[in-house]
Amino acid sequence: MSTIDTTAINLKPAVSPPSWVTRASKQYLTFDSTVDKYFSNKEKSIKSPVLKKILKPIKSLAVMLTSYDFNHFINSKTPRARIAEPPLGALMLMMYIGLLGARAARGWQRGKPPGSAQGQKRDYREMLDVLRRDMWGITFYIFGFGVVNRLLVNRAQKRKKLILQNKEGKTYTFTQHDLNARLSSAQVLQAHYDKGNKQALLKAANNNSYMGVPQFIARRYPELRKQLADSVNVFRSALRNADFALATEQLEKLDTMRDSVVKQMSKNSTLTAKKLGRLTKQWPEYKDFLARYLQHKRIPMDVTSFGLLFVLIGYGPIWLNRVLTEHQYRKNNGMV
Amino acid sequence: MSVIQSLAKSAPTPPSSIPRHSPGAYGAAMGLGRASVVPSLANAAQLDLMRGLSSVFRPAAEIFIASIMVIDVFALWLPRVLGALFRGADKPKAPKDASTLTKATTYLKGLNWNNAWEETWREVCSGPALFFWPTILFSMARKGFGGRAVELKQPVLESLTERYSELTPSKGSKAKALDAGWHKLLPKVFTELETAPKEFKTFMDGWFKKFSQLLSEQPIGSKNKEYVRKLEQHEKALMDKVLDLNRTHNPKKRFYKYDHILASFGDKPSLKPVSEVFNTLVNFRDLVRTAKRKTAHESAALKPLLKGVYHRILRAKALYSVLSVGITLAFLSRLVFWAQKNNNYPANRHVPLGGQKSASGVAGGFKQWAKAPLIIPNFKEWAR
Repeated sequence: MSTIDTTAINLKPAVSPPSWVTRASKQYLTFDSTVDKYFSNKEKSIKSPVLKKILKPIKSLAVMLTSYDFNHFINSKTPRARIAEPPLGALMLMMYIGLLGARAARGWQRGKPPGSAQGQKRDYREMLDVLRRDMWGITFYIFGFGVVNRLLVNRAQKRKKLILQNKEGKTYTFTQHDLNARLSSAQVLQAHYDKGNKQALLKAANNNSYMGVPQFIARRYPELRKQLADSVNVFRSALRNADFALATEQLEKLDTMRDSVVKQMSKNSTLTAKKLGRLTKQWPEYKDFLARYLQHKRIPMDVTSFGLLFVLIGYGPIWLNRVLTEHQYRKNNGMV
Repeated sequence: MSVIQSLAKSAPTPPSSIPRHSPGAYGAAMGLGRASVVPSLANAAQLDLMRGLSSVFRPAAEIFIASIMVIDVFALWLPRVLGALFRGADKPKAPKDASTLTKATTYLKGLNWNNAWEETWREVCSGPALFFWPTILFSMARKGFGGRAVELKQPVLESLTERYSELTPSKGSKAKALDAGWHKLLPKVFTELETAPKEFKTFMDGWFKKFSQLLSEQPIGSKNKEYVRKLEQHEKALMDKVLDLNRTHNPKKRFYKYDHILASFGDKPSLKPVSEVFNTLVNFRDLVRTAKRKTAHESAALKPLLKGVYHRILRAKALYSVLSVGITLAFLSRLVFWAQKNNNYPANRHVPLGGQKSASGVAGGFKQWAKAPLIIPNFKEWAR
């Protein structure tokens, strides 16, 4: 005779079970994690490394397609609103069905021959224009743009020997450089030197645009100019010798000099706030010189990838559609 | 007269004959010797260009909406509207059998305004609609049950509610118990406190008190300017402290993660951005306040009450998410019909089908598409 295991009795306070609406809501919002778990289990059961490699992109695509939980909101100042950023699954649904599907359907509808003309075939050209243009455009925008940008940045960071991406291949944002490449202490300076930004540090330090005295300061304040130049040169040699304590000390000194000038300038009644703002922008803090250098190093890649995007999803498909339509016309009229 | 003004008066003017593009010569003329630290004019111009570009690419690369709008305007609106305007503007060569051209198409000349208008309306309205409807719906959701808690990610909402429920004492006044639970939850979220130096812990004690006080000041979902400003200042205070902590104590371990803190929303502790932790707590506080309001009307025990609040927020969240997608889809589908009212495709006005010989039906359409040759176009002809 079996005995009852009393430890298995649930002694928790009674909470009414969730209704089917709550369960369905939860399933809808966590559809992506359900899919993720399903593929992870499949991955474990598969032994072949080739199949595992094939499964990986399918898994990430499926997870992307099934994310419907709105949880990204951005505060906008003009207009004052909290803007909802759709999750990728919802965005793809809206773009593929709402943009591509609806436009193709309208193209199909408009392709109908006028009246009840017998013998005339449906004109598919608008529908095909839409499919060629939007299917490619939306797909490349969602899946291709990030990949292209990542590859470009990765190539540049290897070539120029600096850090622009994290280990997962995600490009650091401008704000991340502001927060993480501000050389506020000797430890941070050493961390950058040791972790792979040595070349960037030396190059930026020797570049007068980033670690120098702006022309308007050099012209106006000759005394200060000499002091600043001395500190800059000491900083450069300290960095070359990996003397981080001295280098940080010089950065502090440079920023103190800069701050005192800016402070005195702000007291000058002839200088408007706008002009002062522009002035401080032209002469930013010396501690931020590496951050600015790294930010500027990613700009060519941003310009290239945006340029590619404009050609590949903007002008390219339009040009292709035009060429194809005109070729078809010539062919149908016996001109080819 | 200030020191700066006196310095400015005595400032030398650089000789005009000096080649400004050469940093060495310019620096030497300015009395700095060959090892000048003054950037040349060329360098300064390059820096200005980079500064200008970064003011464009910074928001475009960091803010999803800005990026999608930049792409929408430059990669979709402009090329499509311009393409539509010029499509069919120049007539292709006349076919051998001119009778295939209809009377209407023969008379049309010049820019294709009809097509351009269609594309303009459709493109201008469709991109922003992807955000407009979800934004409107979620602003309604925030005013409803649970306030900003609807913005939380479901797993975070669930695990935080569970953790909070565990920490809330079941004895005594319900309202006081809920507050006590909140005060206990805060240090549990910041798991960093377990290993952080004493100075940071002292700072956080004060920060928690002010944070709770601040969140109780305004009604749920308030958009009061002063309140928002105070919240931003409080977030900045935490961010500065965390940056300071990481830069001093973990410069290598948290390299490029100086704005991250070890935190747990009821799950395994991990490094999370300070802004994420802060916003999650602000949003979760609305769940606590909703539960507190409910205690006045309901006699249920605290744990079932919290569970009930969580379930209701979950249902509201799912409803608004479904509605956001559904309404946007409905709007976009109708938009095509509003924008493209013409019964024919104005883009093909000069290139009628002529002697089209294709099969009928959808399959026929795809056959036609598949048959469309991939030719190398005649650039000269196209440019003309």
